[in-house]
Amino acid sequence: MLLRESGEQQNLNLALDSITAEAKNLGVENETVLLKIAEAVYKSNPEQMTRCRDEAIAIIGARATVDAIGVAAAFNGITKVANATGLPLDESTASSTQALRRDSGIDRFSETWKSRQYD
Amino acid sequence: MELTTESSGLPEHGPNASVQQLLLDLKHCYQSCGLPIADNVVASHCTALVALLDTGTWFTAQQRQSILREIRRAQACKLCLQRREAASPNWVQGEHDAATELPKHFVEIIHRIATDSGRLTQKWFQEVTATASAQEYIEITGMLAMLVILDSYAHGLGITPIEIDTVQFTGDAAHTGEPTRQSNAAVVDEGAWVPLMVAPKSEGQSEITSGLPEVPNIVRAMGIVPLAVAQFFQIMRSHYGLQDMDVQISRPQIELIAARVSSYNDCFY
Repeated sequence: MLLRESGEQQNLNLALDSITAEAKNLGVENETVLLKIAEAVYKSNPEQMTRCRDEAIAIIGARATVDAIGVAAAFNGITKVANATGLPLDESTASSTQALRRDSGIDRFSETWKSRQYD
Repeated sequence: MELTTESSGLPEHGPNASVQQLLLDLKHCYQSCGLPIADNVVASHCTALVALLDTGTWFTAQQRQSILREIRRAQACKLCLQRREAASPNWVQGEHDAATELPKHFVEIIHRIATDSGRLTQKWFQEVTATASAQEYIEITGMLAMLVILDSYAHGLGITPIEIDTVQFTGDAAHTGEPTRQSNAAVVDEGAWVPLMVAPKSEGQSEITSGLPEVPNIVRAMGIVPLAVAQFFQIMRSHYGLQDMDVQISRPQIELIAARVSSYNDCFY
Protein backbone atom coordinates (compact mmCIF):
# COMPACT_ATOMS: atom_id res chain seq x y z
CA MET A 1 0.00 0.00 0.00
CA LEU A 2 2.97 2.32 0.62
CA LEU A 3 4.09 1.79 -2.97
CA ARG A 4 0.89 3.50 -4.10
CA GLU A 5 1.44 6.43 -1.75
CA SER A 6 5.11 6.89 -2.63
CA GLY A 7 4.22 6.82 -6.33
CA GLU A 8 1.58 9.50 -5.83
CA GLN A 9 4.03 11.67 -3.90
CA GLN A 10 6.48 11.54 -6.82
CA ASN A 11 3.76 11.94 -9.48
CA LEU A 12 4.39 8.47 -10.84
CA ASN A 13 1.53 6.64 -12.51
CA LEU A 14 2.32 3.14 -11.27
CA ALA A 15 0.59 0.05 -12.68
CA LEU A 16 0.00 -1.44 -9.26
CA ASP A 17 -2.31 -4.17 -10.48
CA SER A 18 0.84 -5.92 -11.75
CA ILE A 19 2.65 -6.03 -8.41
CA THR A 20 1.79 -9.65 -7.66
CA ALA A 21 2.22 -10.83 -11.25
CA GLU A 22 5.27 -11.51 -13.35
CA ALA A 23 4.28 -8.64 -15.64
CA LYS A 24 6.71 -5.75 -15.67
CA ASN A 25 6.37 -2.06 -16.56
CA LEU A 26 5.03 -0.91 -13.22
CA GLY A 27 6.63 2.47 -13.84
CA VAL A 28 9.46 2.47 -11.29
CA GLU A 29 12.99 3.33 -12.45
CA ASN A 30 15.17 0.22 -12.95
CA GLU A 31 12.31 -1.96 -11.80
CA THR A 32 13.46 -5.01 -13.79
CA VAL A 33 16.70 -5.43 -11.91
CA LEU A 34 15.10 -4.50 -8.57
CA LEU A 35 12.44 -7.16 -9.04
CA LYS A 36 15.17 -9.66 -9.87
CA ILE A 37 16.84 -8.83 -6.55
CA ALA A 38 13.53 -9.33 -4.73
CA GLU A 39 13.07 -12.71 -6.39
CA ALA A 40 16.66 -13.89 -5.87
CA VAL A 41 16.70 -12.95 -2.19
CA TYR A 42 13.36 -14.67 -1.61
CA LYS A 43 14.25 -17.84 -3.54
CA SER A 44 17.71 -18.03 -2.01
CA ASN A 45 19.32 -19.57 -5.07
CA PRO A 46 23.09 -18.79 -5.04
CA GLU A 47 23.62 -18.86 -8.83
CA GLN A 48 20.57 -16.70 -9.49
CA MET A 49 21.68 -14.30 -6.78
CA THR A 50 25.21 -13.99 -8.16
CA ARG A 51 23.96 -13.23 -11.68
CA CYS A 52 21.41 -10.78 -10.42
CA ARG A 53 23.82 -9.02 -8.05
CA ASP A 54 26.41 -8.54 -10.82
CA GLU A 55 23.75 -7.19 -13.17
CA ALA A 56 22.42 -4.85 -10.50
CA ILE A 57 25.86 -3.49 -9.65
CA ALA A 58 26.42 -2.70 -13.34
CA ILE A 59 23.09 -0.89 -13.64
CA ILE A 60 22.41 0.85 -10.33
CA GLY A 61 25.82 0.66 -8.60
CA ALA A 62 27.18 -1.35 -5.68
CA ARG A 63 25.76 0.76 -2.85
CA ALA A 64 22.24 0.82 -4.29
CA THR A 65 22.45 -2.93 -4.89
CA VAL A 66 23.40 -3.54 -1.27
CA ASP A 67 20.57 -1.25 -0.14
CA ALA A 68 18.11 -3.14 -2.32
CA ILE A 69 19.30 -6.48 -0.92
CA GLY A 70 18.82 -5.07 2.58
CA VAL A 71 15.22 -4.06 1.87
CA ALA A 72 14.47 -7.46 0.35
CA ALA A 73 16.04 -9.26 3.32
CA ALA A 74 14.12 -7.09 5.79
CA PHE A 75 10.78 -7.82 4.12
CA ASN A 76 11.59 -11.49 3.86
CA GLY A 77 11.77 -11.34 7.65
CA ILE A 78 8.94 -9.01 8.59
CA THR A 79 6.40 -10.81 6.40
CA LYS A 80 6.92 -13.87 8.59
CA VAL A 81 5.76 -11.81 11.58
CA ALA A 82 2.73 -10.48 9.71
CA ASN A 83 1.76 -13.90 8.41
CA ALA A 84 2.29 -15.63 11.74
CA THR A 85 0.22 -13.16 13.72
CA GLY A 86 -2.78 -12.95 11.38
CA LEU A 87 -2.62 -9.18 11.25
CA PRO A 88 -5.78 -7.65 9.74
CA LEU A 89 -5.65 -4.45 7.73
CA ASP A 90 -6.58 -1.31 9.55
CA GLU A 91 -10.19 -0.28 8.82
CA SER A 92 -9.29 2.86 6.85
CA THR A 93 -6.63 1.06 4.83
CA ALA A 94 -9.01 -1.78 4.10
CA SER A 95 -11.62 0.54 2.60
CA SER A 96 -9.22 2.86 0.73
CA THR A 97 -7.38 -0.02 -0.93
CA GLN A 98 -10.32 -2.24 -1.80
CA ALA A 99 -10.02 -1.87 -5.58
CA LEU A 100 -6.24 -2.14 -5.52
CA ARG A 101 -6.38 -5.37 -3.53
CA ARG A 102 -8.98 -6.83 -5.85
CA ASP A 103 -7.16 -5.84 -9.08
CA SER A 104 -3.72 -6.89 -7.88
CA GLY A 105 -4.83 -10.23 -6.43
CA ILE A 106 -3.69 -9.27 -2.91
CA ASP A 107 -7.06 -10.38 -1.56
CA ARG A 108 -6.02 -13.97 -2.05
CA PHE A 109 -3.54 -13.46 0.80
CA SER A 110 -6.33 -12.61 3.25
CA GLU A 111 -7.12 -14.77 6.26
CA THR A 112 -10.62 -15.47 4.92
CA TRP A 113 -9.28 -16.73 1.60
CA LYS A 114 -6.51 -18.80 3.22
CA SER A 115 -8.89 -20.44 5.70
CA ARG A 116 -11.24 -21.39 2.90
CA GLN A 117 -8.37 -22.75 0.83
CA TYR A 118 -6.25 -24.60 3.40
CA ASP A 119 -8.33 -25.56 6.46
CA MET B 1 4.07 -0.91 30.60
CA GLU B 2 5.56 1.75 28.36
CA LEU B 3 6.96 0.30 25.20
CA THR B 4 9.46 1.93 22.91
CA THR B 5 11.14 0.65 19.78
CA GLU B 6 14.08 2.97 20.40
CA SER B 7 15.73 0.49 22.74
CA SER B 8 18.63 -1.34 21.14
CA GLY B 9 17.49 -4.72 22.40
CA LEU B 10 21.05 -5.34 23.53
CA PRO B 11 21.62 -7.25 26.74
CA GLU B 12 23.06 -5.16 29.56
CA HIS B 13 26.09 -7.42 29.94
CA GLY B 14 28.70 -7.89 27.23
CA PRO B 15 28.78 -10.94 24.97
CA ASN B 16 30.91 -13.85 26.12
CA ALA B 17 34.16 -14.86 24.42
CA SER B 18 32.43 -17.33 22.14
CA VAL B 19 29.92 -14.73 20.96
CA GLN B 20 32.71 -12.14 20.65
CA GLN B 21 34.44 -14.45 18.19
CA LEU B 22 31.22 -14.78 16.24
CA LEU B 23 30.96 -10.98 16.00
CA LEU B 24 34.53 -10.78 14.69
CA ASP B 25 33.65 -13.43 12.11
CA LEU B 26 30.55 -11.52 11.04
CA LYS B 27 32.43 -8.22 10.71
CA HIS B 28 35.20 -9.94 8.76
CA CYS B 29 32.67 -11.48 6.37
CA TYR B 30 31.01 -8.14 5.71
CA GLN B 31 34.31 -6.27 5.33
CA SER B 32 35.87 -8.81 2.99
CA CYS B 33 32.93 -9.39 0.66
CA GLY B 34 33.92 -6.43 -1.50
CA LEU B 35 30.60 -4.63 -1.23
CA PRO B 36 29.95 -1.25 0.46
CA ILE B 37 28.02 -2.21 3.59
CA ALA B 38 27.06 0.74 5.76
CA ASP B 39 28.58 0.87 9.23
CA ASN B 40 25.15 1.14 10.84
CA VAL B 41 24.10 -2.11 9.17
CA VAL B 42 27.18 -3.95 10.43
CA ALA B 43 26.58 -2.60 13.93
CA SER B 44 22.89 -3.49 13.81
CA HIS B 45 23.56 -7.04 12.67
CA CYS B 46 26.15 -7.51 15.43
CA THR B 47 23.59 -6.25 17.95
CA ALA B 48 20.99 -8.64 16.58
CA LEU B 49 23.35 -11.60 16.75
CA VAL B 50 24.23 -10.89 20.38
CA ALA B 51 20.55 -10.47 21.23
CA LEU B 52 19.55 -13.72 19.52
CA LEU B 53 22.08 -15.68 21.52
CA ASP B 54 21.23 -14.09 24.85
CA THR B 55 18.57 -15.05 27.39
CA GLY B 56 15.13 -13.96 26.21
CA THR B 57 11.92 -13.11 28.02
CA TRP B 58 10.49 -16.64 27.78
CA PHE B 59 13.45 -18.78 26.73
CA THR B 60 16.95 -19.37 28.10
CA ALA B 61 20.02 -18.69 25.97
CA GLN B 62 20.41 -22.42 25.34
CA GLN B 63 16.78 -22.77 24.28
CA ARG B 64 17.14 -19.77 21.98
CA GLN B 65 20.21 -21.32 20.39
CA SER B 66 18.12 -24.47 19.78
CA ILE B 67 15.37 -22.35 18.24
CA LEU B 68 17.92 -20.78 15.87
CA ARG B 69 19.24 -24.20 14.88
CA GLU B 70 15.71 -25.42 14.26
CA ILE B 71 14.90 -22.41 12.08
CA ARG B 72 17.79 -23.31 9.80
CA ARG B 73 17.01 -27.02 9.85
CA ALA B 74 13.48 -26.32 8.63
CA GLN B 75 14.80 -25.53 5.16
CA ALA B 76 15.93 -29.16 4.79
CA CYS B 77 12.96 -30.81 6.51
CA LYS B 78 11.27 -33.44 4.31
CA LEU B 79 7.86 -32.95 5.92
CA CYS B 80 8.05 -29.21 5.30
CA LEU B 81 8.99 -29.85 1.68
CA GLN B 82 6.08 -32.27 1.19
CA ARG B 83 3.70 -29.77 2.76
CA ARG B 84 4.94 -26.97 0.54
CA GLU B 85 4.29 -29.11 -2.51
CA ALA B 86 0.76 -30.05 -1.37
CA ALA B 87 -2.29 -28.01 -2.35
CA SER B 88 -2.90 -27.59 1.37
CA PRO B 89 -0.16 -28.02 3.99
CA ASN B 90 -2.75 -29.41 6.38
CA TRP B 91 -3.29 -32.49 4.20
CA VAL B 92 0.21 -33.81 4.90
CA GLN B 93 0.93 -35.32 8.32
CA GLY B 94 4.21 -36.66 9.71
CA GLU B 95 7.25 -35.87 11.81
CA HIS B 96 9.56 -32.95 11.24
CA ASP B 97 13.29 -33.60 10.73
CA ALA B 98 14.14 -31.83 13.96
CA ALA B 99 17.67 -30.68 14.74
CA THR B 100 17.08 -30.29 18.47
CA GLU B 101 15.29 -31.68 21.50
CA LEU B 102 12.78 -28.85 21.52
CA PRO B 103 9.18 -29.95 22.23
CA LYS B 104 7.26 -30.97 19.12
CA HIS B 105 4.82 -28.08 19.24
CA PHE B 106 7.71 -25.61 19.18
CA VAL B 107 9.28 -27.48 16.26
CA GLU B 108 5.97 -27.30 14.38
CA ILE B 109 5.72 -23.55 15.02
CA ILE B 110 9.29 -22.92 13.91
CA HIS B 111 9.22 -25.11 10.80
CA ARG B 112 5.85 -23.90 9.53
CA ILE B 113 6.60 -20.21 9.96
CA ALA B 114 10.09 -20.66 8.49
CA THR B 115 9.00 -22.56 5.40
CA ASP B 116 5.35 -21.79 4.65
CA SER B 117 4.21 -18.74 6.58
CA GLY B 118 2.02 -17.58 3.70
CA ARG B 119 -0.39 -20.48 4.19
CA LEU B 120 -0.82 -20.30 7.94
CA THR B 121 -4.40 -20.03 9.15
CA GLN B 122 -6.05 -19.11 12.42
CA LYS B 123 -7.10 -22.71 12.92
CA TRP B 124 -3.44 -23.81 12.79
CA PHE B 125 -2.48 -20.98 15.15
CA GLN B 126 -5.12 -22.04 17.66
CA GLU B 127 -3.91 -25.63 17.53
CA VAL B 128 -0.25 -24.81 18.14
CA THR B 129 -0.97 -22.25 20.83
CA ALA B 130 -3.06 -24.76 22.75
CA THR B 131 0.29 -25.97 24.10
CA ALA B 132 2.47 -22.88 23.64
CA SER B 133 1.70 -19.50 25.15
CA ALA B 134 1.15 -16.45 22.94
CA GLN B 135 4.27 -14.97 24.53
CA GLU B 136 6.42 -17.97 23.60
CA TYR B 137 4.93 -17.90 20.10
CA ILE B 138 5.81 -14.23 19.67
CA GLU B 139 9.35 -14.65 20.99
CA ILE B 140 9.93 -17.51 18.54
CA THR B 141 8.40 -15.52 15.66
CA GLY B 142 10.54 -12.47 16.40
CA MET B 143 13.71 -14.55 16.56
CA LEU B 144 12.82 -16.31 13.34
CA ALA B 145 12.23 -13.03 11.53
CA MET B 146 15.56 -11.67 12.77
CA LEU B 147 17.48 -14.73 11.61
CA VAL B 148 15.71 -14.63 8.24
CA ILE B 149 16.93 -11.05 7.79
CA LEU B 150 20.50 -11.97 8.74
CA ASP B 151 20.55 -15.06 6.52
CA SER B 152 18.75 -13.42 3.57
CA TYR B 153 21.18 -10.51 3.69
CA ALA B 154 24.18 -12.86 3.78
CA HIS B 155 22.75 -14.81 0.87
CA GLY B 156 22.16 -11.58 -1.03
CA LEU B 157 25.77 -10.54 -0.56
CA GLY B 158 27.04 -13.99 -1.52
CA ILE B 159 28.54 -14.86 1.87
CA THR B 160 27.93 -17.84 4.12
CA PRO B 161 25.47 -17.18 6.98
CA ILE B 162 27.25 -16.98 10.30
CA GLU B 163 27.59 -20.30 12.15
CA ILE B 164 25.67 -20.33 15.42
CA ASP B 165 26.30 -23.89 16.59
CA THR B 166 29.83 -23.04 17.74
CA VAL B 167 28.68 -20.71 20.51
CA GLN B 168 29.38 -22.12 23.97
CA PHE B 169 27.59 -20.99 27.11
CA THR B 170 29.37 -23.25 29.59
CA GLY B 171 30.53 -21.40 32.69
CA ASP B 172 29.15 -18.10 31.45
CA ALA B 173 26.93 -16.61 34.12
CA ALA B 174 25.60 -13.90 31.81
CA HIS B 175 24.10 -16.46 29.44
CA THR B 176 22.76 -18.87 32.03
CA GLY B 177 20.23 -16.43 33.47
CA GLU B 178 16.57 -17.30 33.76
CA PRO B 179 14.01 -15.65 31.48
CA THR B 180 12.06 -12.90 33.22
CA ARG B 181 8.71 -14.10 31.82
CA GLN B 182 7.35 -10.57 31.96
CA SER B 183 4.39 -9.79 29.72
CA ASN B 184 3.08 -6.47 28.52
CA ALA B 185 -0.42 -6.29 30.02
CA ALA B 186 -1.44 -3.30 27.85
CA VAL B 187 -2.74 -5.35 24.94
CA VAL B 188 -6.11 -5.61 23.26
CA ASP B 189 -7.96 -7.96 20.92
CA GLU B 190 -8.37 -6.18 17.57
CA GLY B 191 -8.90 -9.12 15.27
CA ALA B 192 -5.34 -10.41 14.91
CA TRP B 193 -4.52 -13.93 16.13
CA VAL B 194 -2.45 -12.43 18.91
CA PRO B 195 -3.38 -9.57 21.22
CA LEU B 196 -2.13 -6.21 19.92
CA MET B 197 -0.32 -3.62 21.97
CA VAL B 198 -2.56 -0.69 22.93
CA ALA B 199 -1.75 2.39 20.82
CA PRO B 200 -3.37 5.82 20.30
CA LYS B 201 -4.86 6.70 16.88
CA SER B 202 -3.06 9.06 14.50
CA GLU B 203 -4.53 12.31 13.17
CA GLY B 204 -2.19 12.32 10.16
CA GLN B 205 -2.69 14.39 6.99
CA SER B 206 -2.44 11.49 4.61
CA GLU B 207 -5.49 9.53 3.52
CA ILE B 208 -3.49 6.36 4.01
CA THR B 209 -2.23 6.99 7.53
CA SER B 210 -5.01 9.05 9.07
CA GLY B 211 -6.87 7.11 11.71
CA LEU B 212 -4.24 4.40 11.89
CA PRO B 213 -2.69 3.67 15.26
CA GLU B 214 0.43 5.79 15.77
CA VAL B 215 2.34 2.57 16.28
CA PRO B 216 2.17 0.36 13.18
CA ASN B 217 0.16 -2.81 13.59
CA ILE B 218 3.22 -4.91 12.85
CA VAL B 219 4.90 -3.47 15.97
CA ARG B 220 1.73 -3.88 17.99
CA ALA B 221 1.50 -7.52 16.95
CA MET B 222 4.67 -8.34 18.89
CA GLY B 223 3.84 -5.98 21.75
CA ILE B 224 3.04 -8.70 24.24
CA VAL B 225 6.80 -9.38 24.41
CA PRO B 226 8.49 -5.95 24.51
CA LEU B 227 12.00 -7.39 24.22
CA ALA B 228 11.00 -9.13 20.97
CA VAL B 229 9.75 -5.80 19.58
CA ALA B 230 12.96 -4.00 20.53
CA GLN B 231 15.22 -6.71 19.16
CA PHE B 232 13.37 -7.24 15.89
CA PHE B 233 12.89 -3.58 15.01
CA GLN B 234 16.47 -2.79 15.91
CA ILE B 235 17.59 -4.82 12.87
CA MET B 236 14.55 -3.99 10.72
CA ARG B 237 15.24 -0.27 11.05
CA SER B 238 18.76 -0.69 9.66
CA HIS B 239 17.24 -1.66 6.30
CA TYR B 240 13.83 -0.02 6.19
CA GLY B 241 12.01 2.93 7.69
CA LEU B 242 9.19 5.22 6.71
CA GLN B 243 11.52 8.22 6.72
CA ASP B 244 15.15 9.33 7.01
CA MET B 245 16.64 6.32 5.29
CA ASP B 246 20.30 6.73 4.26
CA VAL B 247 20.08 4.70 1.07
CA GLN B 248 20.81 5.14 -2.64
CA ILE B 249 17.49 3.86 -3.92
CA SER B 250 14.32 5.96 -4.10
CA ARG B 251 11.19 5.52 -2.00
CA PRO B 252 9.19 4.00 -4.90
CA GLN B 253 12.09 1.61 -5.54
CA ILE B 254 12.16 0.63 -1.87
CA GLU B 255 8.42 0.07 -1.78
CA LEU B 256 8.54 -1.87 -5.04
CA ILE B 257 11.00 -4.36 -3.55
CA ALA B 258 9.01 -4.48 -0.31
CA ALA B 259 5.76 -5.13 -2.17
CA ARG B 260 7.23 -7.84 -4.38
CA VAL B 261 8.89 -9.72 -1.50
CA SER B 262 5.64 -9.44 0.46
CA SER B 263 3.83 -10.91 -2.53
CA TYR B 264 6.25 -13.85 -2.73
CA ASN B 265 5.53 -14.46 0.95
CA ASP B 266 1.75 -14.36 0.35
CA CYS B 267 1.57 -11.56 2.88
CA PHE B 268 -1.75 -9.71 3.13
CA TYR B 269 -0.61 -7.07 5.61
